[in-house]
Amino acid sequence: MTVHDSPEDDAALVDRCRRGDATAWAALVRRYQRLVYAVVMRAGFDEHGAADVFQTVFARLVQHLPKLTQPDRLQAWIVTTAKREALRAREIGQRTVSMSRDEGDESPGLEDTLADEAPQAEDALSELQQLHRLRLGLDRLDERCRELLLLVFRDEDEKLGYDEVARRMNMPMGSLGPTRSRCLDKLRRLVEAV
Amino acid sequence: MKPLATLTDDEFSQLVGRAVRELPDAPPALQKAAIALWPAAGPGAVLSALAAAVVAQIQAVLTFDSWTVPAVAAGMRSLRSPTRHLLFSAQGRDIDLRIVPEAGSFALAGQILGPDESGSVQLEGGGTPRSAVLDGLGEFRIEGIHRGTYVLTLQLGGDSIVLPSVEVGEPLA
Repeated sequence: MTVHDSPEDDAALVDRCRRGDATAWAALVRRYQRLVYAVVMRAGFDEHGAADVFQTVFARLVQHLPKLTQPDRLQAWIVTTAKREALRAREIGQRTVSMSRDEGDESPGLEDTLADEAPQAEDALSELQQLHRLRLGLDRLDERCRELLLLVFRDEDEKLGYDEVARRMNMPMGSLGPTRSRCLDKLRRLVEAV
Repeated sequence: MKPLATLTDDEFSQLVGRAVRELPDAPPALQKAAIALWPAAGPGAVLSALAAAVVAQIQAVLTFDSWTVPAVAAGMRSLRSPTRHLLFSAQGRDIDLRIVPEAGSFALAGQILGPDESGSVQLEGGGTPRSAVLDGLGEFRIEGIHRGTYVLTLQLGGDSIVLPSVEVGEPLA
């Protein structure tokens, strides 16, 4: 899969959407689904609540596309909209259920970070956008590098030993470290070039 | 937050790890449903048709609350006006809201400043929803409201504007 992450490319996708290109819309959804999902999940919604807010954000985007005056600011618009929709859903009590969080979940909750316009909330959103930039960079890496980094950086409860990663990658264990470093260098160059 | 270009290799590696763990794919069903939101319009669909495909719903933002303005001197709190004044904004409209205590209840009085020539408001919470129509000056008033939490929704020019929930009266202890 090829993903382009430059602001110009967002603008081009928006332009294609405006001309009725359904494939451009699908590309936008795929590009931003992780970011929207992350913001919504940080609000602590259950599966159904998260699904509602997730859909609402993309419905807002369909509605807003014709009026979007700065397509190169699309990411910021999406993050702000996701935050507001999550807060709105909580405020009016629709689909708000247990706000309990899984033990071991280190990511900050929306109530801690996104619940207002305070500077720390904006910092949290900026950080999330930086993580998203890296995630899109991973999508643009060659398949072998992407697969290796995704295996190495899996969740703690799914973490694999180096021997298992080496087996799955069909490479000698001794090559894993240097290959991992080279892939991280590639990723850094990719995201810094954007 | 440090710019990516200034991160050491270790810091960069840790950040990539966080990106993988904290930004997982949304469930495929959610992605599919979002993609399906695209209106069934062929190539060349005009913008207005796209805009009309989804009902506009806008979240207003609170910009002023007279009860949260800090006292400028000791003792000012006791002088706080019993009428609470709130201001909201939403896509080119300003919403001026006053919660006025009356005998045993409250009145909600407001004015919409914006391009709309007509509209209505609906108040939900505390039982049966109440509604009112804007007059020629964009003003409305709903009386006989009891203490509690309410959500006000405005129907203006094809947009549905939802205000953040409002606490009427002093919050219950």
